[in-house]
Formats: sequence, C-alpha cells, structure tokens
Amino acid sequence: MNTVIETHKLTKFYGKSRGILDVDLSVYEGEIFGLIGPNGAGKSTLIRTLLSLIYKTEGEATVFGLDCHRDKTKILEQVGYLPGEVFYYENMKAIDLLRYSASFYKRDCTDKIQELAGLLELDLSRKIEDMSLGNKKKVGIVQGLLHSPKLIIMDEPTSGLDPLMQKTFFELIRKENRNGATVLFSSHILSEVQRICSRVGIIREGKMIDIQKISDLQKNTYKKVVFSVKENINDFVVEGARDIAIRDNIVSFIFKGDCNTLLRTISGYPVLDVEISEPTLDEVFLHYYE
Amino acid sequence: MNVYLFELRQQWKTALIWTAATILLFAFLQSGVYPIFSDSMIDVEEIFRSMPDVFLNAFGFDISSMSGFGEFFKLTYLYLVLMGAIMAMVLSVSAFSREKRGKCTDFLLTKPYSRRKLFLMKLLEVATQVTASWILIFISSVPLYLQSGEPTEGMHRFLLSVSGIYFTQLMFIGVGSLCGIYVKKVRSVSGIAIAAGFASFILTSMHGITGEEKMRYIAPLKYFNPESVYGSGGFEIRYAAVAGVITVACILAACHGYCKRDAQAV
Repeated sequence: MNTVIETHKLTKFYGKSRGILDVDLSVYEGEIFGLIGPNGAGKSTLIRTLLSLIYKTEGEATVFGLDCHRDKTKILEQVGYLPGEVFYYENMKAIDLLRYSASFYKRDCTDKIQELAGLLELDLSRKIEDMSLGNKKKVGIVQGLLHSPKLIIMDEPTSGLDPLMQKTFFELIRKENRNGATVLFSSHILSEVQRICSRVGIIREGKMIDIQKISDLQKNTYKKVVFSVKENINDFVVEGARDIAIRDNIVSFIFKGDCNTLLRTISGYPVLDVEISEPTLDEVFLHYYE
Repeated sequence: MNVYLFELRQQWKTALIWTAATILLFAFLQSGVYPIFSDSMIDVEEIFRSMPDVFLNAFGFDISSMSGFGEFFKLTYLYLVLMGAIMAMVLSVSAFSREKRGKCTDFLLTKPYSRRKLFLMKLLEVATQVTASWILIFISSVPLYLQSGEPTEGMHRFLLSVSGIYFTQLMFIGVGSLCGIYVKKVRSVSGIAIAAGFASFILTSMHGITGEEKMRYIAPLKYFNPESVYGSGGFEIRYAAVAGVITVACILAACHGYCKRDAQAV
C-alpha cells in the first residue's frame, strides 16, 4: 500500500510552547484517517505543519513522497483543505471566491463547483459575509473539493453543519474516497470518526499516543459491562475493569481482559441482570486522556 | 497572474480615488492658489515674515523663494508627496495584510503557489497601481505648467520634480509591505498609512526646524527634494541612494517575513 502522508519524529514548538512532539504517522492511499484528541492536543498543529502553513521545528514530513516544505507547491496541487473555521475575503460572492480558488489549479472546475453546490444546496450568488456559519462552511467544502484533490485534509470539518447536512457531507467525503481520494481529518467528536474512518490516531498533549483500526478498537478491545444485583454491594473488583461505578445496586464499568475471569467474578454475586455491550468511542478513548 | 489580477480588482477604486484627489489638489494649488498667491506676493511675504521661523521651517515655507511657478511648487511639494506617500502605504499595507484582515491566510497559503510568488504578485500589483497613478499625475502636470505662462525650457525641471513624488512612493511601498506583514493585527489600513505619513512629515519638519543637513537623512519626504532639481538639475545622489537602500531593505525584510513566518491560526 502506498503511503500518502508520512511523518517521522515530527516536532513543532511555538517558541517555548509545545505544539506536537515526535509524531510518527503513516496514512495510506485510499484510507480515511481520523485524528482524535481534545482541544489543544496538537491536531491542528499537525495538519498545519503538513500543509506548510507553519514550519516544523524538527523531524520529517512527506506527502506523496515529497518533502512537505521544499515541495510544497507540487503537493498542494493535489491537496484540498477545509479549515476548522472558515473566513474569506470581504465583499465577495461565493461564486467569485470559488472561481478565484479554481484559478490556482490547471483544470476547469466549473462543473465540479456546480455539482458540489447543488449537492450542498448552496446559493452561489450570495455574498459570503451575509451567509450563516453553516453556509460559509459549505463554501469551504466546495473550495476544498472543487479541483478533485487526491488528498483531502479537514480540520474539525462538521462544526456549523446541521445533522442532515453532516450526513450529506460524509456521503460526499465517502464518494471522493471511493473515487480515489485519501482523507485525513481531525475531530474531537468521536462519533464522527466512528462513522467514517478506517483508522484513527489518538493525539494527546502533542504526542501520537496510539494508532488503531476503528474495527479493532470496537470489536476486540473494550466491553461495557452493566449488571444489577439483589443486595447492596459496596465494592467490586476484577482485573481489567476501569471506571467502576456502583449506584442503586447497579454496577457498571469498562472491561478489557479475560472474559472467563469476568464471568466467574460476576457469578459470585446474586445477579439479577447483566448486559455486556460495545462501548462508545468516547468511553474507549477516555483512558487515553486520564 | 491570478493573484495579481485579483489584487488589481480589489484596489483599483482606492488607487483611482487617491490619484484623483492628488491631481485635484495639485491643480487647485498650482492653478487656483498660485495666481492669487503671486498677485499678492508682497502681502503674503509680509504675513510670513510676521510668523516665527520655526513655524515656517516646520511647514516648509521659504520666504526667500516663493515667487515663480517652480518656487511655489517647491512649497506645495511637501503636501503632494505626503499624499502620495500615504496612498502608496494604503495600497501596500492593504495588499499585504488582506488575508490577515480577512482571517483567510490559510486559504491563500494552501494554494499551489510558493509564498515568494504570492509576495511578488502582490508587490507587482501595488507597483502597477502606483505607477499608473504617477503617469496620470505626470500627464496632468503638463497642462498645469503650460497654462502658468512659464517658459517651456523650464518644464523638464518641473516634471522631474513631480517625479520625486513617484520615487518617494516606491519607498513607501516597501515600508507598507513591511507594516502589512509584520504588524500583528491590522485593524485599520488607513490608520497605519496616516500614522506612517504623519511620522514622515514630523521627521521631515525636524530637518526644516533644525536646519541640520544630517537630519535630512531621516527626512523621507525630502529625499527627492525639488529644490535640488531646480538648483543642480537633478536629485541628490546620496539621498536618492538612502531612499533606494530603504526601499530594497524593506522589501527584502518583508519578503523574508512573508516566506518564513508561520501563518497565524485564526
């Protein structure tokens, strides 16, 4: 599998402040890769370094096998970027901005602009400054995709979009992905990642602390266990359990470990009911942030 | 050339308004005020003689050389070049801070153009507007001279003096690019331009007040002084060189900042 994005010990400091530290990352051709982390974790710094908006302090970063700073212009011909917050020039209509954006690429983007605007129900004749946040975001989506990029990079892409439009947006991204585009996007909304990504990188305090397949995370790693008992229970301990909560004779926790040990331990109590389910990604990732 | 054309579209109205205002002021002073001024020269000189020397020197009034069209232009030059300098600053600061003001730096810098190319396109656009403006001012100064009744042999000196405005503007394009790139938050383009113009005027007045020749090195509105054109037939090389060095240094520093600095996050 070809690597589209590769970083090795990528580090960025803003003066003395930490941006990202020794980030190693590989994003493969055709995949949708999610970057998850709380605010200030370094997601945007990583993305902005890859886009050469900011300069790395140390380490290496390549996109399409090219150095992300030295070969910036070659790389950006094939990259579409949607920033977290969309701002554009004053007094411009959406269509004028999109035409200006299209003028940077050596191809006719007219049909694609119309197709995307139709799909997102965007009125191109309106001035951008008069648009709602959601509509501005749509302009951002169109300008990021109008040249059919091979790599789509998005930073918190769905903020400002209503749930219906989020659905349309994800369908659009999946379609671009099916047509060969690789996607990297950051989010702190885990359900977004769950919906669309094949792999996810967990970033915390500037460090990439784990990279996993979404399917692995959900199927093989953690279980959410809830059981109720007849009598009062003051304490519950089993190896592999965390976030144990006991309230009104109901015990709940996240479990990773030997299922036999779990069942044996639970059977030692006067159990009324038991439920073992897949945890949400929020619950799965919570321990990374502790 | 798309960035060049985009900037041209964004700025042509501003450039046109400033050019029209400069030409109108020029015409008003040289063909409206000058005839009245020359008709009542004795009274005017009397008024000026009653004023303190410091005041006259600060505002560039030289009583010994006020008669004649060219002499009167030396008097008005300071105000015309100030307008030209502010215009160049407005265009330059505006072009180089456009994305910063619109919080859309990410938009432009994620396009497949090198930062140096973007910088050069913006610089070329501002230079084009200022040059076009100067051509109009230059052309309009010909009939102003011809209708003054001055001998045509002296016209080349007058036109060369007018060109001093343009060379000063080129220097202020450099200063403007530096401000546009290095000033962290550009809240008001005209505010920065007027502040720079005002500071230049004060520095230039300082030279007038003190009369020290050394002070002229920091008097940016007098680097291309019409007095030297009328005196020696050309601009003084050392001051023109200072202007050239400032222009080049500002542009190089601005280009370095534009190419090497991290783009500010929104």
